Amino acid sequence: MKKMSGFFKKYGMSYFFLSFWLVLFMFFTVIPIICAVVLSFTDFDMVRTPDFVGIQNYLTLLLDDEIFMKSLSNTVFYALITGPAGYLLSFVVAWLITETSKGVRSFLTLVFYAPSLAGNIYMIWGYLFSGDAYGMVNSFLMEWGFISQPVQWLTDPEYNSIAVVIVILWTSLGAGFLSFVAGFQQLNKELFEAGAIDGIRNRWQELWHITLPQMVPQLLIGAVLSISGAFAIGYQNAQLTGNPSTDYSTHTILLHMTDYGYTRFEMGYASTIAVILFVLMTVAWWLISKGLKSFSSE
Amino acid sequence: MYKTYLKRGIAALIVLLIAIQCFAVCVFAENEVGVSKTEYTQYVSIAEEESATFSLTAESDGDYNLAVVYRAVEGRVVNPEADIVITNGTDSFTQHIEFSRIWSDIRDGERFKTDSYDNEVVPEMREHFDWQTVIFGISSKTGNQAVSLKAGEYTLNITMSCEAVEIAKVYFYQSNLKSYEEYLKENSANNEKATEAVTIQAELTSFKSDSSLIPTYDRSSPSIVPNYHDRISLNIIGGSSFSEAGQWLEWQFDVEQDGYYALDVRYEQDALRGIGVGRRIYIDGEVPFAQFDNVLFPYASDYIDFRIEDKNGEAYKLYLTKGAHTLRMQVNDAHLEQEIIEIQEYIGQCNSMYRQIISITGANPDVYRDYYLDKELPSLIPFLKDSIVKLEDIAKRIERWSQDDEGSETSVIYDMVRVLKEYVEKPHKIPANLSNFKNGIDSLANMIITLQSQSITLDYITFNPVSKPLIQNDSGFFEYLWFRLKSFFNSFVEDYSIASENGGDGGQIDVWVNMGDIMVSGAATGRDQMQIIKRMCDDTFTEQYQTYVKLSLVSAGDTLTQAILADKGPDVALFVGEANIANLAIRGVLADIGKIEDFDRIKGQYDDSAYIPYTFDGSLYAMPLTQNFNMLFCRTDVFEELNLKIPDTWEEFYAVQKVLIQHNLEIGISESQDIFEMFLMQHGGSIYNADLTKSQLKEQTAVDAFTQWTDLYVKHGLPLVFNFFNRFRTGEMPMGIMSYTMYNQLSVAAPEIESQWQMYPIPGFADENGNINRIQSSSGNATIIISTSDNLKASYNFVKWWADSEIQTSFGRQVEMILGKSARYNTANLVAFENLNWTANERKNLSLAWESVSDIPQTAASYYLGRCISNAFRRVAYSYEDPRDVLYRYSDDIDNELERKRNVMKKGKE
Repeated sequence: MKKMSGFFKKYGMSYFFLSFWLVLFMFFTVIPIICAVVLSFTDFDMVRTPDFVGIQNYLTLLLDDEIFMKSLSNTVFYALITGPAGYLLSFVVAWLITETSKGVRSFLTLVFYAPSLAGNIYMIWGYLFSGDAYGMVNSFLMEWGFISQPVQWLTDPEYNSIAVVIVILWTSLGAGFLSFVAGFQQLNKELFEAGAIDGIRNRWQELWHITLPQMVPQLLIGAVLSISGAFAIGYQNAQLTGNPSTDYSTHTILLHMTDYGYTRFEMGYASTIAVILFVLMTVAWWLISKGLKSFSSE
Repeated sequence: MYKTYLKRGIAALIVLLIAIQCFAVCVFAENEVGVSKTEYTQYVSIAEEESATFSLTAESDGDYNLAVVYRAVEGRVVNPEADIVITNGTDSFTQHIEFSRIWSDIRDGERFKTDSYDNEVVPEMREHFDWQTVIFGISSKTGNQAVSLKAGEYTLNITMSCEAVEIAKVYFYQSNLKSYEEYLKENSANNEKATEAVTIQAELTSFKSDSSLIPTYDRSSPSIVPNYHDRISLNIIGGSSFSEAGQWLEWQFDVEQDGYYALDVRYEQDALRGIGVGRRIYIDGEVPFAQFDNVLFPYASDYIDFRIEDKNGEAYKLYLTKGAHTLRMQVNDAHLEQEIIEIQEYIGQCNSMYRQIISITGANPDVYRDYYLDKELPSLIPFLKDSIVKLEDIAKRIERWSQDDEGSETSVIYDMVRVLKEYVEKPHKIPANLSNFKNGIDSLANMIITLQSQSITLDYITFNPVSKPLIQNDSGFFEYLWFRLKSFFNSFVEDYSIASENGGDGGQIDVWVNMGDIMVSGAATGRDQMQIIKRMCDDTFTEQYQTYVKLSLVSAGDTLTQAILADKGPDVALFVGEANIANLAIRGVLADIGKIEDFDRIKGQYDDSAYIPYTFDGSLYAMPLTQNFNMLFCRTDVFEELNLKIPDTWEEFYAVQKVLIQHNLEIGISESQDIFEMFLMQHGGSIYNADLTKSQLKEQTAVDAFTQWTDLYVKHGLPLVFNFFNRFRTGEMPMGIMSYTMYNQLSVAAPEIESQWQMYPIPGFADENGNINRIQSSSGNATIIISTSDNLKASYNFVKWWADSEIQTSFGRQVEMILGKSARYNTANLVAFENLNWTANERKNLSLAWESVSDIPQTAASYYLGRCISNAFRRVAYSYEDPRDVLYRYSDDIDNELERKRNVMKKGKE
């Protein structure tokens, strides 16, 4: 009893402050995940009571769903290209603009962050990539004689991945980028002086041996955001290339999930996809955080 | 139903009534314009599509207009229209005229009726069938301007192209406005001094020419009177609805003292920046002096008080006696009319020249090649040189009215002149810069829309004693801030849901209106439409069934479906799409519409095809509201130029296409599923078998249809993606198969090609007897009842009331009254359709097409069919795969999905 009251005296206030977030986290994250896991073992059409089907959904999804495999490979493809590339891009741009003066830096930060800030502004790309002969890209290429017929940039499976990757990279300077910009501000200047005395010869060595190890928390945040971003790719594709795209050429796991959830209203199966997506993201995050930790302890 | 209608139309065509009536000619005798007090007993009535001939005399050589004393007869809300021809054997003039009707608001005492929250609601209108005299222009070349005629006898032929009128008198009218000096001299004997001002709230009109001239509200500032922070007060009138030449508003007002008054108007005008909009002002049915024939109201982005003055800043003095008077303001574009007509004509020439150029170079010319356009088209360079002179002259004439040298309206003309000068200097560069020419034409066309829009928003009008100075009614900054703050905080407590009043013991039902865009969902629905539905509920439904109706507007998309599936939905939902209905119906959450009492009577008002997508297992789960189908849109001027016939069959269609392609012109057919369904049904195929368990896409008919569809793009080179509206305007795409709602956009937003296009039924296949099979599918949206509704009986009553032709007609008319032609309602109700404002010819073509409309049933796997067909199409159109192979492959996919879905549904039912 005494021990308990001592505990509350010591930590009570902390738990009190934590509780608001904890309640929200429970209601909006933990409980929905549990619901999804439960529903993933059922057949649920949103009206009748869910019908328990065991692991049938998982079997169908992993063994008998071509479209899922296609969307998985697309997701991995986008994640591999846009995840690291977006991550590097964020880091490099943040590093470069750190060198500028404060006013310029704020302005440039805004400029680079604007695409992800402005919501659906990537729709402008739909206009650029329009399949009309008078579309921006088409008319430019036709005028210069690269092509003679308009190309269906967004609906032809041969080209629409290119368009999607460009757009995703354009919007990839998001919250991770901001955390990098902030991280560069709070580096310990003494370490740079010490490094200079100890024989750092160029900016690369400085970046590698002094800057990066100090930035691990930001790098981790950036990586988490980048991964969740890469796995959540889909809305842009749907808006640009249609949902579903021609022959599912830009279909991702997320789109596969919304397809079953909101078009077919098969919630059990959609939950199964959501659970798989959740597992994939957790594994990817675990791998990356492990890699970064080993880097910081180096 | 169609047959009776067709018979009537043909009968009207054949029996052309030609009445020859002679009237005494009276020039100068009657000057009073407006609602006439005289009752004419002798008149000629001219029905729709009929014509009448009159004889007229011009007493002497001079400038004349045509005056007509007429009365509109009860009909559809649209204004009667007529084509007139005036001729004396040698000279002949043609003109298209519109007879306005007379409307007035139904008011509750002095001001408008209010709802339960004390908000003033848009009043209903009443039409008056009174005689009125209106002055028209004689020749389309000069618009409303007087035309110089030689003395002598003329005959006038009036052919009603829309609606009917009764005409009591026609005569040549010669304007003889006095000058202001004469007016003053006439009234010089009077020297009473007025001291009291007379203010008219502009929204409180006594009569108006157009039902779309409705009072509205602006709650942005306390200086717009009357205005309250906590309720809506209809305090302004005008805006874009008060902009077409000829429209007028009339007010009655009482003057307390004899004397001289200045006319002050408080208004906002953001239509024409540099030029000012024109109004003709009548006092007691007469333009008092020449200066009031066209008073220009300068640009004012915010409300200003404006006194009508002469050039020296001296107010025009109006002498008014004690007693009742009328004031009428009529839209007058006389200051720009001539220029508008000339630009319009010029655009026609430009478009024709553009088509000639692309017939040589193609729409996307090779930039590195010299096409020797100046030699190929000898008329080109002279045309361009003439154009420069002509355009500069037009610009100068428009700038006459420019008040502040900004002249932003004419900058478009100078841009075009710059392009043309470059062309004249370097003809070899024309193909490379052809897009500049096309953009220039587009801008000129848009400029016409700007110039024609003589819109002004009126707050109030004051007759101020001349001695009193004009006072600007500007609210101070703090007054303004306080007003806005009050409104802001009030917005937290205001109830925005719209419930009907005067309910009774029939309970209450929740009705959701799905918000939609006509281009996306096939029905235009928004806040205005909901207000109309609400008023109709108040007027008839609530009274009849003692049931409250609570209306809410929901965003289109999945909101409704998700809410209903989560059991948070309404009792009734309007304007729901086919796919959503299929999803809901197969899950058993929709009520059977067939159980409406007296259903057979209502059922006959709709085409059988409209029920197809909502019927599952023999029961009907939704009541059709709108039905869209495709029409063939043709540019008649281009067809005439190339000597082509409107295609009735596909053979003729391909023949036309051959000619068009020789001139580098295109045909617009969108790559959507309904085109495939059209070909499929015309070939005699179907998508599913009879019990909807398997697809029929492996049949030869399906392969033929699919091949014909893909061949349009693969073999005939039709563009896959295009903006039909823009290309149709320039004539680059003079033909296309589009949903008939394209009519709305074209009729409103493309004035420069007015009367140069038509819609016809789509082509089909002719059989041995020459009957053409034009069958096609349709799409639409519908009304649904949720089966878990607490008040199922009231919901059934509501749908029974709502689906009836009378209510649908009234809804369609009111929507068009308030929102104009662009909001024409594409009702599925055949009876209501007949009563909407289509001209006889349009109605004939639409009915002809509608007769052969059918539809494809919806299944649980309909969404899958759509994607398979579009994937199959793209494989052929992009990668040129073999149509039969592709169709076979996707046909299997569809069968699998049908099977899968059926199993899922079967399991659910167990």
